Amino acid sequence: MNSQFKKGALELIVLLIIKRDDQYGYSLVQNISRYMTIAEGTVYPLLRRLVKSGELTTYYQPSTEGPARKYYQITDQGKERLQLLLEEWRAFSHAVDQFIKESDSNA
Amino acid sequence: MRRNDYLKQLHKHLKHVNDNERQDIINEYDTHFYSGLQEGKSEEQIAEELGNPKQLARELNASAAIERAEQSNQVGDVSQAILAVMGLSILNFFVILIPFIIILSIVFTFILTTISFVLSPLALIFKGMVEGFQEVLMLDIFVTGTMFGIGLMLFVITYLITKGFYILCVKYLKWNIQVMKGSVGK
Repeated sequence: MNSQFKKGALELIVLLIIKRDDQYGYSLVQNISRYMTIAEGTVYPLLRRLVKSGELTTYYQPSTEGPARKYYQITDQGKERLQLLLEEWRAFSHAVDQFIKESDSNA
Repeated sequence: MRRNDYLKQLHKHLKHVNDNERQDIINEYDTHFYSGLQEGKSEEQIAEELGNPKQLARELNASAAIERAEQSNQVGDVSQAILAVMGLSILNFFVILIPFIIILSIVFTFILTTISFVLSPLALIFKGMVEGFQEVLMLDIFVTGTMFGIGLMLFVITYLITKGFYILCVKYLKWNIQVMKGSVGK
């Protein structure tokens, strides 16, 4: 898959997953890699950025074995941001679809 | 790469972050290794999937440096942020360097012009002292006065431009990092 596409959509994907259920880093990465391959380490810098800009908050929860897990939770601001990204994504993919349709009908 | 080597590499290349943050970052990657091992992956495999620790450290450095530049008002912090973002990739190096040099030279021109205009009365006094004050023409005084006035106005404009440049710089770096987002793809 084109890595430029992935770059553009990663924030949207991360917010979508965390909105559904709070995630810790590893579970989030596993969730993403169900459908696409990414350099998994880059999710963490993105998460830090989203926490700092107020889209996500964190809390720690002890796990049954091993170190406590840092969970990420979406904030109201994060939900607004997600809404905005979704609208932009839909407009974008609709525009691309138009070009594909035009091209198909001329073929 | 083994788990310990990976974390050491990451630790070594992290800059612009305080000790707490560094520990927090390392812990998070360490926990990632832990969870991966639980699932039966090897340390090498997990490291491979995470991607190059040096590049990750660069990304984290750039975000941290921008954040610091945003909070402080010091030229040094902005320069560090610029350097950190430039270090992300070769492409970034040029994408940032060229507009930065252009804008910086404009700002510099403004500053120099302002200084020379504001200091122009000094030049007139100097002329008077060297050639005798009878040589100073009414026109000289008039022109110098005008230049001084313009200089004062320029001072305000230059101040605003410099400040705007500063804010723009931080914004641009933030935007740049959003768009570049390092090496997500594989």
